[in-house]
Amino acid sequence: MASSSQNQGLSKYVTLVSMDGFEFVVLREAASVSKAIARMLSPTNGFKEAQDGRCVFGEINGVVLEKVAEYFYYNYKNRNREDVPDMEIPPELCLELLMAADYLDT
Amino acid sequence: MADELPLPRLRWDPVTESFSKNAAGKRVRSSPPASSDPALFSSDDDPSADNYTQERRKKKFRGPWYHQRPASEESSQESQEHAPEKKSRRTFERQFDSGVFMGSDGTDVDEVLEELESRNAMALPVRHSRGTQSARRLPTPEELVQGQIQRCLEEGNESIDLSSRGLTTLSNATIRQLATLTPIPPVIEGVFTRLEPKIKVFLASNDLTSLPGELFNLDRLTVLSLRGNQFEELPPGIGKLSNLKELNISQNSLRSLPFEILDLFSDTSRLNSLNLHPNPFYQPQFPPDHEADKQEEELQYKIGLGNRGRARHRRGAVCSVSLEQRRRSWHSQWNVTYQARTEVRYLDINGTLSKGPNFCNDSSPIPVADANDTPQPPTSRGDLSRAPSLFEVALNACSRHKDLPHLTSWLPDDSPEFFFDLLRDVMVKKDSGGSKCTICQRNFIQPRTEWIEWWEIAKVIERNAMASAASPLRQMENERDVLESMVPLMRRGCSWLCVPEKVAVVEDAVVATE
Repeated sequence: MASSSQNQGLSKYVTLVSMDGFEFVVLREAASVSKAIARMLSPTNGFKEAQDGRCVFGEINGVVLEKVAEYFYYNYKNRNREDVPDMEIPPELCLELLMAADYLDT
Repeated sequence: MADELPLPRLRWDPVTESFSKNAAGKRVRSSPPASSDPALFSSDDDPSADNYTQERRKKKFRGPWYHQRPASEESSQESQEHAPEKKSRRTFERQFDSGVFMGSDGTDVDEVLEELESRNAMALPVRHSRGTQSARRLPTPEELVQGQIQRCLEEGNESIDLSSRGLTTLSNATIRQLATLTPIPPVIEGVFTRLEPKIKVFLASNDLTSLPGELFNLDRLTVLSLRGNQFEELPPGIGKLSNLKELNISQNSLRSLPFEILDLFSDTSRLNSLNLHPNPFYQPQFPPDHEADKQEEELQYKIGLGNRGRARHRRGAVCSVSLEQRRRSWHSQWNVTYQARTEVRYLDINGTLSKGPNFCNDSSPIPVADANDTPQPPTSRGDLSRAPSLFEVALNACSRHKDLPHLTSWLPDDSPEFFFDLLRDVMVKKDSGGSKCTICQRNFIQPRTEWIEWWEIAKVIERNAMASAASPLRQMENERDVLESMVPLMRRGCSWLCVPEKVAVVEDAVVATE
């Protein structure tokens, strides 16, 4: 991503924290797929999250956030591919993930 | 009932013109007097069914109940007391013309009749209540249609006429049965031939807005009439009907057709008759610089030359053909050519417009894109990829969820209305067979790009047929054909990279017009 070269001073990984305290350390570049996270972490916006690279989501629980992190890597891995495989999601998580996706703008 | 106390006998006082209880005289019964007078009074002193074995006369009273004086006091009182013995007084006569009890019948008629009657008396209220039940709930149009399909299946009838049934919905389960339809094979020259069914489905003049996806899995469907319904869009699955010979989609609210409908004109298909109009199709608006004076001239062309002059329509401006069209081969009966397209609409993950033209709902024409237009995705999302959004992935999981119709009830109450609409939309799309990206063939739920292409679809008229039928009537028909042959096809893509191919400007299109 173009932004990664610009933001040399920033850490390569960021931490996503769920409402029940689970922490997921993911590549900043992968997590930036989410427009909401990209905005939180952008140093120009001056959010607290940008300084320590830690995003706390008060409305997303650990199970869902784990899937979200998995999606970030799925998207990151397939970003330049022509035939993208499907990502499997357990049916019981579909609604919560839908709302998380809407919130994260992913 | 029988053990109810009979009313105390009242004495008629001629002086006061009324009954009196306390007049001298003994009570008929020694039972204690009722604490109060009965609230209701009926001459049906014993309404049990046994009392109705023969015609009875109801006692007639005149005036208020406390003035009651039966016509003959003595006889009525007597008949009450002797009620249990009534059986001996029954008089039944044989009905020799009834056809049930013949003169030679040796059975005891009275006994049988009595049994019959008591059974009737019991059955009557039951039957009555059943009658009111069925009156309360009429079968829905769809249930009637299911019955009809069942009959067609039993008779091997290939022509399923469901027109004018007031249908508003048609479920997959109803249509699925048709896949098992087998016609009765005719005997030709003494030999049974195995027959492939040629299913004809007529759904004309109903109020349908969506079609079940199973309809498009009926690969033996040869005739499909959807005339006079409320469709605003047809499901893309319609392109799967490779054996379709006749398709009628006139008199709907269609603004465009699915791009997949072009599959019906490929060289392996059999489409012979197509009725598209009238429908409020989107009209293309060509760049203004070369129309004003040419418009009339072109109309002349169209009227005079019919099909042959058509390619000049685009003369000097954008004679372009997409690469894809050159790769495809069309049925020789149909003249199918790409004409123009709109600019690409880029949609955000939740379906809101991010960039591109608006396809408004009024009848104003939509400007077409320049032939050299290359779609530029909005820059808001950084690098593009073909990977689906998490939103799409989750929607897909919802769509595959086995309890999809009830998913909305699991949404939190405070969630935005948009989610409810979205899930309802997912359900409709799933029922009608889903949709595939017209560029990369991937299944999607929420399109990310969409644009309209106008294709000219017209039946090839044979030269000699035209020469022989050079009547004014024929020419009129041609003119109308020309004006209506521009068909808008909706194309949708699953990612912002799924956009129209670059079109190649070809010279031979002009040459072909001679």
